[in-house]
Amino acid sequence: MKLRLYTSLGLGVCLVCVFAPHLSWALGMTGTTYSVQFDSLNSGGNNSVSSNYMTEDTVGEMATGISSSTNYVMLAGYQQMNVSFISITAPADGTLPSINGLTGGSGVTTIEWTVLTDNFAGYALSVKATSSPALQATTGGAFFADYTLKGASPDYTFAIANTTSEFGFSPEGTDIVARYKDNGASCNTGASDTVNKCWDPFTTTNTTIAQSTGSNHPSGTATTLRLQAESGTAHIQDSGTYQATLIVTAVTL
Amino acid sequence: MYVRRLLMCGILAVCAVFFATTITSADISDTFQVADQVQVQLTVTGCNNNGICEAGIGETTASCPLDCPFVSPPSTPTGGGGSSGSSHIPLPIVTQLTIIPTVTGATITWVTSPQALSTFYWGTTDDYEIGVLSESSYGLQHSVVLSSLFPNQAYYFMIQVKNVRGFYGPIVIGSFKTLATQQVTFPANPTQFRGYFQSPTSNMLSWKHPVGDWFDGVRIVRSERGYPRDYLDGRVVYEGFAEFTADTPVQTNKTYYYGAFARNKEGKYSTGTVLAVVTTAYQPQPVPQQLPTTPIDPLPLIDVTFVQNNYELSYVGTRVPVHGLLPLIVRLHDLPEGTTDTYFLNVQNPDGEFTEQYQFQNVSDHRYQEVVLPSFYQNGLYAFTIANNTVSTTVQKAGTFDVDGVSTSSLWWWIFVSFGIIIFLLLLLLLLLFLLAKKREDDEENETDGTYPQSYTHILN
Repeated sequence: MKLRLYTSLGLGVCLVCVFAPHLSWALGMTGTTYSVQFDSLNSGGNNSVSSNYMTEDTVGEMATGISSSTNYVMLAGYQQMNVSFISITAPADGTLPSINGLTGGSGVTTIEWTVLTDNFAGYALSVKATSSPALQATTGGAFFADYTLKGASPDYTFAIANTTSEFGFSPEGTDIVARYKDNGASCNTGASDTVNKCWDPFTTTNTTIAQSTGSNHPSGTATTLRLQAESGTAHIQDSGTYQATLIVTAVTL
Repeated sequence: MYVRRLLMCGILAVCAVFFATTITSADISDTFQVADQVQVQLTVTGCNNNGICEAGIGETTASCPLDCPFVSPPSTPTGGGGSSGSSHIPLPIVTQLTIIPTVTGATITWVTSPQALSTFYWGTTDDYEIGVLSESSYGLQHSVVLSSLFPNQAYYFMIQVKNVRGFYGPIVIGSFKTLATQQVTFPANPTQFRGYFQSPTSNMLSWKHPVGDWFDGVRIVRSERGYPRDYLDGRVVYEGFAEFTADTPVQTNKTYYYGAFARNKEGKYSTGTVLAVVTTAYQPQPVPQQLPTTPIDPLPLIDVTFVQNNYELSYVGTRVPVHGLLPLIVRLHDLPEGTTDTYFLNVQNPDGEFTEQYQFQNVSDHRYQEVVLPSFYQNGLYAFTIANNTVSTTVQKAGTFDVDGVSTSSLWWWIFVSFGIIIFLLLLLLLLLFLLAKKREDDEENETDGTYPQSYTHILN
């Protein structure tokens, strides 16, 4: 009798080994703060890391693999799921209209970047200059000073003393952060994105100008950086070519 | 029966599957980023230097002097040719403008073509408020030398040129900045410079080297006219790393003046410490220094500054607190312009045994003289006088260096160690005496009893 019972138990264990991998399922979980985008019920798996490589393996999922028909392709299984991606366009270099260094004047140009991501948490877009001041003469050492703020928030209107020359930016787009939104008179308040308003100076550290909280796949979101340089009427700016190098970075959140 | 077993096995399998299965979630904690770099260019226009004064683009006399020359009505054109007569001689143009500033001056040179008479306006603002320098003859090469300027000060100038017809060419506006004041410091002097007449033909000289990695030798210079003003003023008696030498030959009944100058590795010499040796026949004895006479203005030291470690020392009255381990710079200010007097600093050690005599040296581009004293070797009060050698050696200033900071810890350590050794030796001596006394006492007892200790008895048995 006992022998039979043990035989039955052994048979049961064998059944577990055979069928267990096929008894798995997947379910996305969400909470108030975080969401688990992909999960898998399987019989095993691990993350393995070396100095140069990293791999994530799972075993025991059921019905995985690639299936296709005339119109569809199905990538089934946990490992078929991609994590997320992000891309940014590469616009052409910008050119500001020339300024008379003797009488003063200003020049404005815009550069637009489109960020595309399927990351459910969204992205952040930041900008920085590679030099300080950002806009410097290619020879001779002259420069436009970085824009001087009147307060802690961006200036609603670009305005400089007539004895100076300065260079700044104003971001525009649906994803711009609150700092660059306005209420028609001031920045860092309200929900408007008035064109040509809310000016900030460039720094050599990243300044976040746009941010989203979800995927914008497949269309992406454009953010425009408006750039302005101005030389005051009582300021003599050395003639020559000036150049600023800007780096715009988009990062998934 | 078989069905029951099979059912039980199935239940067990399902339970085992439940516990054996694990839940795996996607690790999406990594963030990904992409970046783009762009260049933004801007062209700023200025003077186009086309010879046309274009007010519409902002060209003015101030901003574009080549296009908008300063126009002054011709005052007295030679030959009375008026405007038509000047057409044969072009307007003068300034070229090759060079500016060489120093700490307290500047040299500005320029060339004109054709020949011109230049007028140079200058000042600390673009109002050129300081003055005007005008040439008296026409020429192609022009220069202006400015002196007595303030160090590290911006100066503005304007050059106006006119040709022989009296017509003005484009004015030239410029500016320059004088160099910042440099801390000119001489190397420290040798110390304990001594000399005496030893034989009919020799003056023996000795000194001590200043301390420092910079030291690169000493030069002894002899003069028969007076104290050597610098390391080049006289015949070189010795140069090297020794600390004594003999100056041979010398004549008797003469006064020889010596200077000892330390040299650093950059080849710069110290201000010098000096002495005089009178070669009195067959009297080999140290020659006393030429000590100063009665002070005429010993108080206060208003035109003397004392510097250590680049800081000017503050003091009250005539007592100057000095850190003994740092070189001391003494500076004489407000000296009469063009003075040829030689000033000496005489420093007497705390015991009053000897006096060091140092010679002040002019510092180029500065209206002061300075002398550098090496560090002091002991704490205490060092009386000093500052004298010059006009009619006679006359004390101008007098005071006291209150030297502190010279470590005496090594002396105390030596005393402590020596005292400890003496105490140890005394204790050892006492112990030996005690042991000897005890042994003697034991011997006396044995002789009296005629017995030996029990152990000895046992051995003997």
